[in-house]
Amino acid sequence: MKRLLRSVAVGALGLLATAGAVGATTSLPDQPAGLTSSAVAMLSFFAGASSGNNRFGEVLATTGSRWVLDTPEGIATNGGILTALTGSRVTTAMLPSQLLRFTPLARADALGPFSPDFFGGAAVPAPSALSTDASTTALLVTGDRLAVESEHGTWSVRSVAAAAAVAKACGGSLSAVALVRPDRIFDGSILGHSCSGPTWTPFTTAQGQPIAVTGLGHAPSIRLLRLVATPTGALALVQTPTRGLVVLTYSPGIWSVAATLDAHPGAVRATAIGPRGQVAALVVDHGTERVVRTGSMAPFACPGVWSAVAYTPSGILDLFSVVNHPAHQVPSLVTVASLSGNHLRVTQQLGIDVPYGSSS
Amino acid sequence: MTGMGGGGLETGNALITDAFGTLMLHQLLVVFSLLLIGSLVWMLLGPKFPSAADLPAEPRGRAILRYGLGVLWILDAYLQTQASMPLGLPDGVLRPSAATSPSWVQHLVNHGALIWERQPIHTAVAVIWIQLGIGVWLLVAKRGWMSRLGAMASIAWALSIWSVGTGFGAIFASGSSLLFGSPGSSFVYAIASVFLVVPMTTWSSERFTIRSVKILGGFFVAMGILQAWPGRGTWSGFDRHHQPAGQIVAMATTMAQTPQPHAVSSIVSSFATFAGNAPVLVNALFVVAMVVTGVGLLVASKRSLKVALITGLVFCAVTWIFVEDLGFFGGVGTDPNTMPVLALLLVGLVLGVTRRPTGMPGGEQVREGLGGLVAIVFGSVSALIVLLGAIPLAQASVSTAVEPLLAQAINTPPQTVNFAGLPFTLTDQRGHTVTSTSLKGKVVALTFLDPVCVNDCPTIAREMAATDTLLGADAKRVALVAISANPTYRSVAVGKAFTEENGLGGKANWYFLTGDLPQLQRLWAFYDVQTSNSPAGAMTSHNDITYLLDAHGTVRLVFASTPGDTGILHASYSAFLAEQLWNLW
Repeated sequence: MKRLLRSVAVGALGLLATAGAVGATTSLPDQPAGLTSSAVAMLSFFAGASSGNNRFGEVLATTGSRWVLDTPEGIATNGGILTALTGSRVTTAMLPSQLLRFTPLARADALGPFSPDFFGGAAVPAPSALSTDASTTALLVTGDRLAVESEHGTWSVRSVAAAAAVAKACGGSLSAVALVRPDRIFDGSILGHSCSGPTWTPFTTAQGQPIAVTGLGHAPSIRLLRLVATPTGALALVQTPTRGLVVLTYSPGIWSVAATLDAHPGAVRATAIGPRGQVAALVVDHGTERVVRTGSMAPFACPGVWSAVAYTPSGILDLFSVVNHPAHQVPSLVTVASLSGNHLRVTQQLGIDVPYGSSS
Repeated sequence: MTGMGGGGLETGNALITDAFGTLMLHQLLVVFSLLLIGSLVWMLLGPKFPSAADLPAEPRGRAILRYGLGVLWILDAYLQTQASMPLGLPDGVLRPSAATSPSWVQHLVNHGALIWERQPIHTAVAVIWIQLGIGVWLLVAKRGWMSRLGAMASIAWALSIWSVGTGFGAIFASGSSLLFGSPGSSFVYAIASVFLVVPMTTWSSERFTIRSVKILGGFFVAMGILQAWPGRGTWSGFDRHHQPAGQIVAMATTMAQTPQPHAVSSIVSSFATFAGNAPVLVNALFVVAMVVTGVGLLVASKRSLKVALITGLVFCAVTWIFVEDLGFFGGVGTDPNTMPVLALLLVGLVLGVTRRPTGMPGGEQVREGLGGLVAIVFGSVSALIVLLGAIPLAQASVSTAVEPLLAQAINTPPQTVNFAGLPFTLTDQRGHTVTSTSLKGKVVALTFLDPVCVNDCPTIAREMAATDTLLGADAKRVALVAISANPTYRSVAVGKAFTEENGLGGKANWYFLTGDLPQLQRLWAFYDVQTSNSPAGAMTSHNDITYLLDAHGTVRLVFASTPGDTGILHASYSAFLAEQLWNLW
């Protein structure tokens, strides 16, 4: 069977909708849900909304260079979607919305059909609240709890109140989880949150034990944008007022600075983490959008309004422009452009019918 | 106009207006019966009852007030018969009347609106009888305690309307003005009724009648000063874009847009144009009219009262026609606004002074008692008509029960059917096997729900839980059954999660059933449920439909069950479902 490379796009509309205040503020918007793997890429975008309560999200997948709509069926995405990917296995979690109080899940291998599942509580509406590894799924849920599904499909829920207390002392709340290989100080899950002081401990174990961060200096605040597991540990993208966008990597027991992106103090509209740990971000700096990424560190001028980025498995950076139509049944238009070197080229356009949730 | 708080019901909904008309006619028969009985009693007792010819004549001012108020109440009752009343009054009249008032006033009025919305048909009909009863009561009971009791009823009802129905006539709102109806017609009804409650002999008191006109004079002067007060927009007309900027022109422009005969709207519209172009002149005339009327009443000489009467009546007529637009158009007009009753009060009190009876002996109560046979008999009949409305209204105000018909008004009417249900073997949320046979012996409400739906399905499930509560002890004779309507998310576990999510976990008679897809598809096809998965993050689409099966497993009733978008409509669905389940036993 021909090897299929699959990329997954994750919609988390409200999150990017917040980011719509381009250049108006230096505060960071929440970032789209993400996934990481050595074999896949990611995309986040906002597919449209019928009202302020709806944050429809979509999943895009690609075979080769063409992206196709691959949102799980049979379930409303009014609340947005979280996605995690391990190898070629995609896990999506539909955030609760309106009267739905629990979290439907959908899983698929490669381009296969999604199989439905659910978790009986409400996932935290944050981009990195879902994490997977080869056999386990972890979901950060409301009420300062962490749900972990074993390979047998059994969910166990435990309190992470101690970690939540650390987050609260730091002026934040738990917003991210990453499943990593257990080491000498913790049992396999790292929890993360943003910090605005007075303490400065953005990462803890599930038991609330802070994990040290080196090389970042003492920042007055830190905004956790992404936290993802990698084959060698974990990777986080944070923003601080003094250092801008910083990529942190985790090796057992400690976080350290891996790269700094030339992107401060602009607002971040989207982020991407590539198959080899590359990180890219779409930032707005004094009203100008540009893409910054690890490796070249060079800013790229982006004509038009672009709101999402992704790495394809081949390592090419894709940019997505999503035009949202508020009217019923009008498709959102997604324009895909590939960025290779300094060259930006429109490669595809997708029309996506804006979904409306009524079942009647 | 959308009624019921935008809940999906139009004010002209045929089902509701038909039910309103039917209930009104049924109760009209009761009213006629009461009048007939009263007439028979009057004919039988008339020859034996002492004549009232020797009793003192009613003072002219009081008679004017009594007859006028009686006619006004009957006119208000007639306005309440408009078909738009049941669904249109809360959002067309009640809530707007308090829209610019403080939040506590809005809260009070909203409470009244919710009472109306829960039982719109019965409440609307109840108000008709209360107002008709008071009107007839005032007309037939000339004197004595029956007359005064009628006036007391008039005060009580007028103050109820004034507070809960009009938000105290918007007196707490900014920009209130006599021209626009402040302090509220119902408040003036109440004041006018007070003069009918006082003993008739009081009307022969010079002190009482003079003081009364002086108080009214003070009111006119105060309203005139308020009208003249700068900074309230009363002296403004059109702005530079020829848009209404002043109070008078804005009010007249708004009123001209009310649905009404063209001739009337064109008169009001012309006045609005005139007032917009000459705002100072128009407002000055109104101010002068109010002040002249007030001063004339305060002076209280024969000549000044005559001037006050003429000026005041002209002021009331002009305001009523050109600014208040006669007050009762638009389909939900409840009364002719403040000016007619204010004019009535003015005439009654001025006549109270100028035609004051002299030499009326004291002890009216002793001499007149209840007021003569007509007052006793027809006053009693009127009181019963008032009770015909007051009792159900009182019940509605203390009950949270919702009219079951509302849910049907947003759906198609239920259809009576008669066919055997499709046999099935499915699994409930507890993991137990449930078959169509195992449900026999119970009345079954059967619907189709998507366990991961975000709106309608959870709402319907919660309505089922409410139905179970309404059924009380009888719930054990009922099975509330939902069959999964999602071809993808249909596991037992997700059905259990849905059950818990919607508060049905503790209901022994609740079954969320699922099974293999072919069997579900057979059931969907049999029960005409169209399900399909839509792309792009839309939930599974399916129609909202409910079947009722009798204890033998025969399908007896089918109805669409779109739940609507207000709590009242949801509660109505529960009430309707409970009612239909009871009917099947």
